[in-house]
Amino acid sequence: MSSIAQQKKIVEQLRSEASMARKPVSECVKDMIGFMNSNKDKDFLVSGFASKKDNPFQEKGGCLLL
Amino acid sequence: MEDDQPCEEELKLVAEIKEMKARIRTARKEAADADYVTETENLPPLGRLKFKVRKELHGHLAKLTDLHWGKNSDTLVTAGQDGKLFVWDVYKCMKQNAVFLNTAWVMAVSFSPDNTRVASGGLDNILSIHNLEEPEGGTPIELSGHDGYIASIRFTDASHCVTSSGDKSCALWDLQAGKIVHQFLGHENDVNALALASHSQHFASASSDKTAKLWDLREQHCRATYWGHELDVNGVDYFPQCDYAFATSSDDGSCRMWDIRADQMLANLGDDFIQCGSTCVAVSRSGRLVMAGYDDYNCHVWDLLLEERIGIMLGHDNRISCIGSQWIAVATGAWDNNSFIWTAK
Repeated sequence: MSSIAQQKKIVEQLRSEASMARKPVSECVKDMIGFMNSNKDKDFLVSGFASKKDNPFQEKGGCLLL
Repeated sequence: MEDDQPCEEELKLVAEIKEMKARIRTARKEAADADYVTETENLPPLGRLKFKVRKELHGHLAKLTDLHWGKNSDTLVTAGQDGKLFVWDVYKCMKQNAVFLNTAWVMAVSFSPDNTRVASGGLDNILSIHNLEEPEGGTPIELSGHDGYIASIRFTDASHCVTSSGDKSCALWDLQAGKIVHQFLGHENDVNALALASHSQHFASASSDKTAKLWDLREQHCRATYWGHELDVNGVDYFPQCDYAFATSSDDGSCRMWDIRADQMLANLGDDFIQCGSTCVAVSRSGRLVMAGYDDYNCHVWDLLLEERIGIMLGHDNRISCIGSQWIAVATGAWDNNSFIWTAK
């Protein structure tokens, strides 16, 4: 493709990207915070485990009584 | 007039490109009715998080380059430059499956949605599909189409994949037809990573041209380009489920969160403590945490809302190359030949 043809394509692509409808940042942030709050209890990286037994990756230690 | 002087038409087009980019910048500014820091600064902080290695997956004899969690988060597939894929039962810490690749230089691996197959690709430029229901993956289906290395792969459904490549393109493959059915062109340099939206309607790519791009899979075009990183962008992961946004990691040492609907960067995760590039990034399942791997052998845990580093994952002895998050745990892979599974506390 010639340089002129390539540049015409770039102009068209940028025109299309420019024309998208954008949502205000305030609404977007509000929605993100809402999602995080609704899901934080299930996100065990944020909330941790209530007890070690709840962590399926917890090493099972302890001793055997012979 | 000499042949190598730009003609009037070319000059006009260069000016139009400049004008279009200015138009995009203005439109993004107009959508910024609020400042991210101000909107989030009064939220309660999470405090310091302690991440601990719970499982160590030893077996690869060379650097790990990629990993992918299985659909129930009880399996993980890892790819190493020993030319092997291992499918791990992460609880028993054992290999369920091993695939011996025709090339050592694998860079990308992905489970199929039902986990019966894995796809791999790398410096051989070939997309290989392995059947886990056959011993050692069976005879791979090998698909050509890219003119450069395959850096990243994801299945959009049982019979289609998207890939990103060193040939500067991303591609949508029809696996039954055995070929690329659409090429996503636009990046000006290697496309190092891709991430798929949860409903497979769009995907995001990260490139050495310092941008990330958003691609629409149904209409098969580029929807947006995100400028801001100062060096190669090499990792990308979506904000979970609702796909409002995605995070990127870059050689410039920062990770950034880009909001798709506001069409701009919201969060910039970096500070003076970090003096090296970030190599890979994962968002936790509530969206609150961003975990990123770095060249200095560490992973850092970021609070996405307050843009603060709140945890560090120490354990690897070399550069972190890949990371993946699920509800309970994070998996990392590194150039120390190991993969670790981490949980908080």
